[in-house]
Amino acid sequence: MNQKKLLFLFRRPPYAGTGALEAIEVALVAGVFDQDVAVLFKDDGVYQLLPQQDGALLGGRTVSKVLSALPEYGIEKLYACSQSLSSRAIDPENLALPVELLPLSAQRELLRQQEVVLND
Amino acid sequence: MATLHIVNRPLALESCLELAAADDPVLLIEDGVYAALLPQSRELLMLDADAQVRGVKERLQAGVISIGYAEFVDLAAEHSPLVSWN
Amino acid sequence: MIFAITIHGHPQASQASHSALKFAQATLAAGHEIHRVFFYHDAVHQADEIAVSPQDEDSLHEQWSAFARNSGVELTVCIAAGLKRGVLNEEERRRYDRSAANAGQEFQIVGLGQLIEAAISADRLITFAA
Repeated sequence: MNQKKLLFLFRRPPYAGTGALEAIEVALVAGVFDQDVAVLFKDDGVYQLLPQQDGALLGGRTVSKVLSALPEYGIEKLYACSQSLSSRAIDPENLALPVELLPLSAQRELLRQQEVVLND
Repeated sequence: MATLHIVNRPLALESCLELAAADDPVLLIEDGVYAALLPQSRELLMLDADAQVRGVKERLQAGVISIGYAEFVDLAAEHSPLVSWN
Repeated sequence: MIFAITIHGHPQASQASHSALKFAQATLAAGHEIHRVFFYHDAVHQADEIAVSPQDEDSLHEQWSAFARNSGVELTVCIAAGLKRGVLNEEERRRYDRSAANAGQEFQIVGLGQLIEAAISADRLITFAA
């Protein structure tokens, strides 16, 4: 099967409705289809990276736990916007999953390499 | 190939412009056309029909170019990837 | 050129579905092909055929249905997103023992794999966001 470079651009916070989880499902399916997947957490999407989340209190899943499955599906290119983290006072040393921090210039370069971009 | 950015609300434009290269077209659609009322640092494209619906056409800033759906399709065919900002 | 179109926005809470239909029509008018239209997130509500539009408003559901009939373009709805929002076809109605089905016959209920397949097979994927 054709392999394309797919970027998932996650800008939504984790618990405002089902959007974030549904978008992560698409990424997992892209992994199953053996695509070259990268994920960029930007703007409010960086809230998905906060540790110690507990979705059970809402009667649902914990988004950071679902995200931790990405490497099992072959998705290891995980990036976060360093500016989005700092403007939200999120400690980049203490995140729920291992991501590479990118400044804007590196995000632009990442985007340039993609064939398809999907968002949440 | 350059990227086409599609912005459907004004608050998303700032994030879009962080990642838009100088030669990437940025197209305002739906509520995104309200951004055309404010001075911008670069040229923007705007979907004419959405501007007309919202009464934005008469109060445009300079540097905003109005296009129709046919040109929107051409832009989408000529650019890759296509990135939506909301 | 072959396009894949995905729609996220709710038909009554967003202009996404309207914009997508206009784009789809313009795509075919320009001589391009559409591999598939995929309704995800709240856009799955567009498949609901029992919603009643006010008399002075167009029915986007009917317009999409007519578009599918006239052009042969595949309209697909994510099964999981549909189920949790109450958009079911007859098969799902029976499977989950619900009192009614509401998906219009022009809208096919499919898995998420169809979105990825479309993204891979088409030359361009465009998203009409929420």
